[in-house]
Amino acid sequence: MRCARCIKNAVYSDPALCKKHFVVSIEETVENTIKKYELIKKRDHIVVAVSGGKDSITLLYILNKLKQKLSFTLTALAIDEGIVGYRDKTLVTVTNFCKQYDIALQIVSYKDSFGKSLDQFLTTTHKNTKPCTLCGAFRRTLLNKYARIYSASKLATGHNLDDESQAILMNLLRGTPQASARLGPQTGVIEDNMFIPRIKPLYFIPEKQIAAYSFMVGFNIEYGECPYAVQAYRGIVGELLNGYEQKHRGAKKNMINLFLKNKKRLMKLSMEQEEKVNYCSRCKEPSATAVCKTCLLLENKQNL
Amino acid sequence: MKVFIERKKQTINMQFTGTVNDLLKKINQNPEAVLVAVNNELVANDCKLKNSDSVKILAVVSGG
Repeated sequence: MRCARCIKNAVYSDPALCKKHFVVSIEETVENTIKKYELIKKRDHIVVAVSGGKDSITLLYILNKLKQKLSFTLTALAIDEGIVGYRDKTLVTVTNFCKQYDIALQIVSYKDSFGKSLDQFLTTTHKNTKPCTLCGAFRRTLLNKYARIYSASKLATGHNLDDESQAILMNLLRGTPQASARLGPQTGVIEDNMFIPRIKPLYFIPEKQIAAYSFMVGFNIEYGECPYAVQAYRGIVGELLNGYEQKHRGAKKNMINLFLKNKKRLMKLSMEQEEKVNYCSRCKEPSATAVCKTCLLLENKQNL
Repeated sequence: MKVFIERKKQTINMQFTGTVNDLLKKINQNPEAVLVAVNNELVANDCKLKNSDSVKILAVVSGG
């Protein structure tokens, strides 16, 4: 198979591109997404949520390449959940990467913020709580809070086309399609000073292409998986979509495009339910309910 | 041919001639969920494999 842009052999099948043109095509897609959806404006300060996995490292690397051209600044923000044997390793990757590219890095831990690591919560007070429920709520709270503390105008995350198509399907299967109003290349239905808008520059790139990009560019990343991920519903939905994609090429992209066409309707539906941002009566962070999910989980009052 | 399957942390020694796609079918791997490196270089799915090749099946997973 030949590269679609030159005479070299393709190293990737769909699109058929050689190494050089594959790398260029990924970077072009990110830049085009940023421009088309106005994700970043001049003088923005972007805080990049980085875990040390291939998605967030790819995002940080490409944004760092684009920062001069598009006139913005950036800081990396890593959350240390306290997952022994996993997060300790990925934080080394993040730290070394940021040193190598001279990127400012801030690390915030569950232990300092909530008194215990994720491992400690799950083996003591929260034995019956699903790991991803606890971790997802805590991580969202800290990312928004510290993005605000570090003066972010936007919080960038490494969500890709697979993550987004999975989320759309999960919301449908749960019977809450209006929850998808919070998805898309730029998220946040309602504007509020306490809430930092989120952007997803990798939105149109499939997970497999990000893995290929990170391999080709040569990031020193351990291609591991969170030990708690095996318990996640998302993994089941991901396998289902991959099985479908194998038989019907373009299925995930079609789902995303259909969703984007209908996003305005979903937003209208969502805004009818949430006219303004509330603030948690305990921690004062933005919340859809009187007490936020993080505080409910900390008090062990949410039976999930 | 030596085939290393990253997700299972398993190495298989096998006699095989055919393409990457044929190999993935034979060892029951979804091409959507893996990358294939031959002698440490990524290859397209129609790449023909030789018995002397060292093949790595890399899992495409989100770190989280």
